[in-house]
Order: sequence, then structure tokens, then C-alpha cells
Amino acid sequence: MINELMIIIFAPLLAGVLAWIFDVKGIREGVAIIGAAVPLAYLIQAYQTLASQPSIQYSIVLSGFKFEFILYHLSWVFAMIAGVVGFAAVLGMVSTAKDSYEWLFALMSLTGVYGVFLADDLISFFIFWEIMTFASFMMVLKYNRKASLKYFLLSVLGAYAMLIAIGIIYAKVGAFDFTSVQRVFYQDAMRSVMGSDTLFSRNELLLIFGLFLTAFGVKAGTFPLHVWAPDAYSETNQSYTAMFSGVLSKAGVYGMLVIYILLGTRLMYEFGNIGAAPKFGYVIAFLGGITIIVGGLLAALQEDIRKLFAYSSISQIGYILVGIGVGTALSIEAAIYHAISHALFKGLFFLIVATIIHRTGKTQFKDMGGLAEKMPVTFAMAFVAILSLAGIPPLVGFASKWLIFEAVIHQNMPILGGMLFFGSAIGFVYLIRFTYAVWFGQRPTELDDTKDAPLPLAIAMGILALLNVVFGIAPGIVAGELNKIFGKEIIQGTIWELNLGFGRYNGLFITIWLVVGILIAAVIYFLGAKVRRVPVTDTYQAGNPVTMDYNLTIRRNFFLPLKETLAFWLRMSFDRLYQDIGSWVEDLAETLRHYIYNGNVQAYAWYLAAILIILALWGV
Amino acid sequence: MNLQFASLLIALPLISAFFVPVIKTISRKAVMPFLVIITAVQTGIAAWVFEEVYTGGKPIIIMAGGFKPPVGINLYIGHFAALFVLIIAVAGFFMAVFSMKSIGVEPKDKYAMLFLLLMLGATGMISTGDIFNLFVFMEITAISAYALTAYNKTGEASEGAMKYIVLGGIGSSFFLVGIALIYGSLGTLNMAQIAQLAGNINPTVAQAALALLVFGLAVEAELFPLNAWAPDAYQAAPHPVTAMFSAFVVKAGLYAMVRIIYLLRDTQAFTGILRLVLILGTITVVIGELSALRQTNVKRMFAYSSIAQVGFMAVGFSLGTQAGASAGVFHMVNHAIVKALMFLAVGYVALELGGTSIEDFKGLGKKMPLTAFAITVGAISIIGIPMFNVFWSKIQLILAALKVGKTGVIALILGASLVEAVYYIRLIHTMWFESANGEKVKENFTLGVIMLLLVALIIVIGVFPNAAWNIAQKAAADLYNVSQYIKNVPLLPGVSP
Repeated sequence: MINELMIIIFAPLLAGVLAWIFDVKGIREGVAIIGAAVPLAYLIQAYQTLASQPSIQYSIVLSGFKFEFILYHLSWVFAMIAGVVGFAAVLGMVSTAKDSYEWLFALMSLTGVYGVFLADDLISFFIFWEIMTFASFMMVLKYNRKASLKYFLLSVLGAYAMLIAIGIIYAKVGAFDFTSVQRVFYQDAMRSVMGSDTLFSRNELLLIFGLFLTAFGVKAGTFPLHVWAPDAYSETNQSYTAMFSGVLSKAGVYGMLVIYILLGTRLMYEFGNIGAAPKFGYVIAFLGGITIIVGGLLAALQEDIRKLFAYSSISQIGYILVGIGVGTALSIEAAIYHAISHALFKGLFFLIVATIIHRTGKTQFKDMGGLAEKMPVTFAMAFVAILSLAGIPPLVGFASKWLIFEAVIHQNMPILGGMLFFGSAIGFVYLIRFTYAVWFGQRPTELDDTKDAPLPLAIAMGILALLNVVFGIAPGIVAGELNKIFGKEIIQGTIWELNLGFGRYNGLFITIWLVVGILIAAVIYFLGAKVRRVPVTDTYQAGNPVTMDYNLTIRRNFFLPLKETLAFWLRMSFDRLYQDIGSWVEDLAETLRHYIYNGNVQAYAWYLAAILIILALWGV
Repeated sequence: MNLQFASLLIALPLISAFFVPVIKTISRKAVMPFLVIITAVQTGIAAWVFEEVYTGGKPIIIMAGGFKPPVGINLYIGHFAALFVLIIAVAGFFMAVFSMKSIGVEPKDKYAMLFLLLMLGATGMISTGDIFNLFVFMEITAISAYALTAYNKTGEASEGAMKYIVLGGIGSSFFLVGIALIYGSLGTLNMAQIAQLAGNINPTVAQAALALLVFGLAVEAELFPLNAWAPDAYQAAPHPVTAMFSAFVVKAGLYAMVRIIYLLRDTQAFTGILRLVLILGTITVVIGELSALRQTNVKRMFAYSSIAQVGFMAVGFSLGTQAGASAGVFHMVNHAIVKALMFLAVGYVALELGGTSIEDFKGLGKKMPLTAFAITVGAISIIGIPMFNVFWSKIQLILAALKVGKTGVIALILGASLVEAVYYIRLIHTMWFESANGEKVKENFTLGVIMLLLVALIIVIGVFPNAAWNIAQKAAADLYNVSQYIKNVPLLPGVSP
């Protein structure tokens, strides 16, 4: 019998290949759904197995390399993210995928991401990482060459960084599997504490850490390696982006955790702490904080609905990185919690965007408006997603953000705390735009006969929205699973309540009060509140009179004042820097080629003479 | 079967080449089918030899006239030679089939003759056990290559061939001087005996000889900056010939260089020359990739890419470890498969659509889906995506380099292959996602089968690299393990200079 881990990993790929070969509408969709559902079913089944044993392992020898796979609590949680959001995205693609090409690569990337989460040695980790990158790259390539190229170059840069790091580790450790590598680094840490010679010197350690950070930072979209994400997320099938942003970015997050697992002890002893956080973790956290701010500000300035969410996704990943970087058990649990909520609400958001684009064919805010009436189901979903991302109880976004805040504040980290709060505020700024410009206000006449979401998309959105609500009201379900990762009760409480000892949050309680509050409000409303029209400037200016001469409409350049304020900072674009470097290299290459391969045989003969002279002088 | 029949590997192409004029007088049309038949037979013999060597585990030593070396000249078909003779034969067979379709210019009989001589020369270079014999075979290869480059009779072709002749000529004359120095110092030309006696050689003579030998062979092996002839020659040569250049001619040159360096391992110049080859190899990769970046002619772009890949192999061999040599051989095999496929596909596109500039590749996915698919698989493989064959050789190369602590070189090489990704992705995008007008071409069945075979090979090695990796390791051991090489050759006792 084939091992269940292999089924989990390869079922999507197999389905993708089948869908690609039997390119018949109807069949390929069915095969793809099965391909995404099978791993999910196996993962749910594996939950019971994991209750009785710590892990499920499998290994296979190929090409002299032993490939090892493991499913334990941490990887189960991440694989479930991939399973649920991947399944929803595949359902969404039933409505939006145009041909079998998209099915093949979408499912291939799902296989890649499962492989990354289940890998237990560096080589399989790397290979599946590359498969994931390659497949997602192919999804972008179909839509836009420039965006895909940028994505691919940065990814390959990251992959090579990882490869070199793996090579350095292998050269010293002589093994690829996580257990041995972890053991060696742990022993190394002990040795450095004792003051004896270590296997990896301080500089080598720093190099490995830097290389891994680059590799995973690219995928997670960490500043300043995030430049590929806005383009790549927006220039592909938006249903696929639900998976791309919801799941694939988690591979980067997971990678950061792998740094902790493999190198954590040694790094901590070698470089010490800042306050309570390990110094190396603080680097991750600080980059995460900057990512929150940069992503959030840029999201607010976008005119394209896809780009807004792409930047917003980047910004939200920043939270996760902050949580991971702080490095306490609580903060890491909070980060994984936010990884789950990010996948749920971002997946939902991109499916909503997919629906809007599918139905209207428009992507710019200026072409939208008043869709709430025409697409009530989608609007309801959007409502859930907005509340969740904004971090409003009782949705999952609140629970996880609250945990991160608590974890950071508890460690007395004012700078990171400030960044987090800023990110939340800027979150409202861009969400208000999405809420108002797309759903309310005057509807352009051409959108008058827009239909609501097609059934598969509606189901997909429904699954994610439901989970957003359930995990918000009963946050203890998630917390219980996260506690298993550490094997102790870090977040206490019931399934309704999170109790940290110094703070608690009860989802059910808040829900009840919320419902009661809404009921009271409804009663008051129906008893006769006066209706007053609120101009949009009120939301924007928080009630203050508008003093400037801007003609603000929410659909076009709404945050112009913000843009002008930031003008100085916006000029410093890393994206442009990379592009300049790229064209500089191309020019240099052309010049070099022009002079070296100049087509003159006499010059070529001189090259020979030069080499002869070098040989003579070299004294070989 | 008597193992001495393996000498047919040399004899068959040679005799057949002489028979071509006879065939021509019988029927002009029979020349190309004759070529295909001969290469097919050659493939059969090579496959038999390969099987014998790899199952027997012993090299086949063929002694000309039954005289034992060093008195007689011997052929040494060990694991490496058996593998590469097979690659040469298979690539030759495929390209002979392709030639039937693509070669329209007369005189085809001359083409067939030169084609066979090119195969013969490369086979000889790889299997000979005598250093002067090596020179002879190298000249046969080179001269037939010059002529084939000019075969299309265009100005471009003559220019390319002219450059090739000038540089190749300089290279081989210095090579000859190097041989003379060795012979003058050791009094033998047998490669096994040279290796045996290498310790006794005067250090200065060894330095000079090794330098000259490497210099001469580096021209054939396309190491920077001695590879200046290559882009022109690759572009101007008939398409099947370009594929053969990339698949085995350059590799024969590289093999000869590496073999000689390893044979002289006991001399003091050994480490120095390895370091030099490492540097040259690295520069070759970087310059090759950068030059390909803005090429608008796809065939030329592939030529630069091919040069860069040879640089990879040279780096592998120059690490001076068994692991490095294995990685180098593995990369040779993989690259031969991929580049044979890609040059075949490009040649076929040029044949159908009239050119190899990037304009002709617009919308190729619609016009010639199979060919475009083949090029795509090849490109993806060369970039080094897992589950394709080149990935494995690249990763082995990196591991080997890291083991000896050459992190900087690796970083540089990986940086260069970023560039590779850029231009191949541009090509892939042009082929599949840019629309152009033009009818769908009915693709040739035989060529389609060949391309699919090679694609299948790329993917099979990519998914199950074990078998290929084992073969590469054995071949590399044959190259690297010189003491075993000396033991394998039955030198006549008592005969020493």
C-alpha cells in the first residue's frame, strides 16, 4: 500500500496531470476537486493517528539521497492550512480557470507546498520548495511576463541562497535530515557555552542564518524582498491567488520556524538577547514590523483592487513575522494562529476579488460601486472578511492579532508594539476604501446587470467565511492544537476562551454581547431613529471639516493627501532599485559581449597569446 | 563475442566514410540513408560495448595488431569511454536522421563523409590510449568540423569556419609541441606509461608541457577566452552539426584535457593547472551567460548557453576530487541530452519557419506545439528546476564544490545561472504567450518521436536519477582513478624508455 504521506503530497499533482491530459471541461474540474479533497481527507484522518502517536514518518531512497517525510503537530497545522485554503481555491478555480494549463500548475504548486510542510530533510524541503516556486511562477507567466520574471528571479535568488546554506550545513554535518542537523547545532550550542571549539564558527553561523533569512524572506514577502508579490499576486487567476497568498506565503513563514527548529538554540546562545527576544529573532521581527508599515501604506495608495489586497497580504504577513521573531512560546503560537487567520481571511478576500472580476471584468476602484445590492452573497462574505482582517471581534482576525499584541506587549517591546498598532490603523484605512468604493455608493450603469457569485465560488467563500467565524467565536479550538505543538498549556482556557494569565479573551461572551447590542440597536432604530445622510468626508476626516481644496472621491486617488505626505518616502522604491540593477547588468553584459566577441579573428588570436603568456607567467 | 570487435567503433565510420563516394556513384539518393544505416549500426555496437563494460566492470583494451602497449597503440574503452561512445553514436544517429530532412545543399556525399569523420574523430579522442593518437583524432575531428562549419556556403559560414580554423590551428600546433616535450622527457607516448612515469619528469618540462597541452585542448573545450570561435561557428554550421558540436565535440575536447591533467597528477604543476582551469571555467560560465542575455538569435543564444554549461563541467573537473569529477561527468551527460534536443528543435524551427531569430519563435506554441514543448522542457531543465535532469548534476556540482570549500565560486556560478533563467524565460514566454500570425505546421513524425524520446529521457533522469548517477560515478572513477587506469593497461613488462 502506498504511504499516506505520499498520497497527501502527490494526489494534487496526479490530479493536475490527469486534468491536463484529459482536457475535457467538466472532467478536469471534477478530477481537480478530488485531487484537492483527497489530501484534506487524509489529513483529517491523520489527526486521529496523531492523537495516539507523536508523528507519522516515511522515507524513500532516490538518487543516493534519503528523502524523509514527517507529519507531526506543527506540520499538521500548516498542512491543514494548505488543505482547507487549497481546496477552497480549487473550488474557486472551477469558476475562473480558463484551461487545463492552469489546473496543472495550480495543483502542482499545492503538491509543492504539501511537500515543503511535510519534508523532514533539507533536500526534499528544497526540491518541493522549488516545485512550488516553479508551478506558481508558471501561473503568473501565463498572465504577465514581467511580473513573472521578477517573481522568478527573486525566488531563484532565494532558492540558491537556501541551496548554499544547505550545502554549507551538509559539508560539515554530513547529513540532510532535520534530526541530525538539529542535534549537531544543539551540541554546537552546548560546546560554545562550555567554551570549547564549535563545528560552525560564528561567521558561518551568521552566513547560514542570513542565507536562510533571504530564502524564506522572499517567499513570505518580507521587506525589502517583497517587490515581486504585488505584481505576482495580482497578475494571475485571482482564485489561484487565494492559494498563492494564503498558502504559499506560509511556506516562507514555516521556513522561519525551521530556522528556529534547526538553528535556534545555537543562534540564541551565540548572539544573545535583546530584552526578552533573541537577537536573531529580533531581526526577523523588526523586518516584519517594517513590512507591516510599508505594505499597509502602499495598500492604501493602490487604485487596483487586486494590488490593494496584494499589499495588504504583505502587510499581514508582517504580523506573523513579528510574532515569530519575538521568540517566546506564546508569541510563536500567536504567530501560527495569525498564519491560520491570514490564510482564512486572505483566501476569502482573494476569492471575493475573483468573484468581482469574474462577474464585472473590472479591476479598478474607479469602475466599481454599489455592488452590495447586486451581489448580496459576495457582500456578506466580504463583510466577514473585512471584519476579520480589521481585527474586530468575534472573528478570527481579532483573536490572533490580540494574541500577538499580548505576546509583544508582555515582553515590553514598545517599538514592535507601535508598529503593530500602526498596522492595524492603516488596515482600517485601506479597508474603508474597499468597503465603500466597491459595495456602496453610486453604481456605474454598466454594472447594473451584474450577477452574484457562481455556485463553486460561493461554496468556496462560504467554507472560508464559516471558519473565520467559528475560529473567532471558539478560539480555544485552535489554541488547543497550537498547545500540542509545544506539548504544554501555553494558552489556557476553554474552547470559548483564551486565557494567558495576564489577559483573557472570551469569544462566545463577546459574540453574545455583540448580538445583544445589535438587537438593542435594532430596537432603538426601529423605534424611530432619524435618518441622516453621512457624507463620505465624514468617514475620511473623522467628522472634522474639510479644509483643503481636494476634490475627494473614494473611487479615485482617495488618499491623495497621504500620498503627498509620503512623497519623499515613496521615491525610495526597492522595486525600482532592483530594476535599475537589472538593466545595468544587461547593459554591462551587452558591452562586454560587444568587446569580447567582437568578431575579429585577429583579436581572438590575441586572446590565445594572452592566455599563453598567463600560462608562462603562472609557472604551472 | 570477441571483445576486440569493439575496434569496429573506429573502423566502421572510417571505412564507411571511404565508401560514400562508391555509394554516390550507385545512387545519389542512397547517400543519406546510408549515413543513417551506418550510424544506426554504430549505435548498436556502442550499446553492446557499453553493456559489456558496465556488466563486466572491466575496461576493454584493444591492441592494434596484437602488439602490447607501449609498443603497439592501444584503445582503452573504460567506463567513461563506453558511456561517451554511446552518447556520440546515439547523437550521431539522431542527427543523421535529422540531416535527411534538413540538409538540402549539395554535395551531400561530402557532408556524409565529413559527418562520419567527425564521429570517428570524437570516438577516437575518447577511446584512445596513446597521446599522439589523441592528437591525430583531434585533428580529424577539428578538420572535419571546420569543413562542416563552412558547409552551408554562405559568407557567414565561411567566416565562422575561418575563425575556427585559425584558432583551432593555433591550438593544435601548441598541443603538438606539448606532446613533443612529454615524449622528449619520458620517451613514451602511451598514456598509461606517461602516468606511471609522471613522477620522474623534470618539473620545468612538466610545467611547460602541461601548460601547452591544456592550452591546445582548451580551444576545443571552449574555455574562455579561447572559445571566441564558438558562437560564430555554432550559428553558421548546419543545424545537425551544431547539435553535434554541443553534444559531443566540445565534450571530447574537454575530456582529453581533463584526462591529460589527471594523468600528470604526480607532477608538481598539477594543482596549479587545476586552479587555472577553475578560474577559466568560472569566467567561461559568467561571460557565456551574460553574452546570451540579449541575444535575439535563438541559435546563437543556445550557443552561448552551451559554452556556459561547458564552464560548469570544467569547474567540476577542476575541483580535483572524485565527487567533483562525478558531477562533471553527470553534467556532461545531461547537457548532451538537453542540448542535442534543443539544437535539434531550433534547427527544425528554422527549417519550417525560415530562421532562428526570436521573431520566428513568436507563437511557436500554436504553430509547432511539439517542438515548442521540447524547447520548453530543455530550457526548464537547463535552468535547473527539480524533477528535470540538469538539476541533479547542478546540485551534485554544488555539493562537491562546497566540500572543498569553494563557496565563492559556487555563488558566482549560481549568480550566473540567474541570468540563464532570464533569457530562457523570455524565450518560453515568447513561444507560448505571444501571438503571431502563421499557419499551424504539420510536424514531422520521426523528428517528433526523437524529440519526445529525448524529453522522456530528461524527465526520467530527473525523476529517477539513481541509475544515471551511478553510471556517471563509475565513468568519473575511470577518469579520476589514475592508478587503476595504469593497472588496467597491460604494459609489456621490461619495455621502458
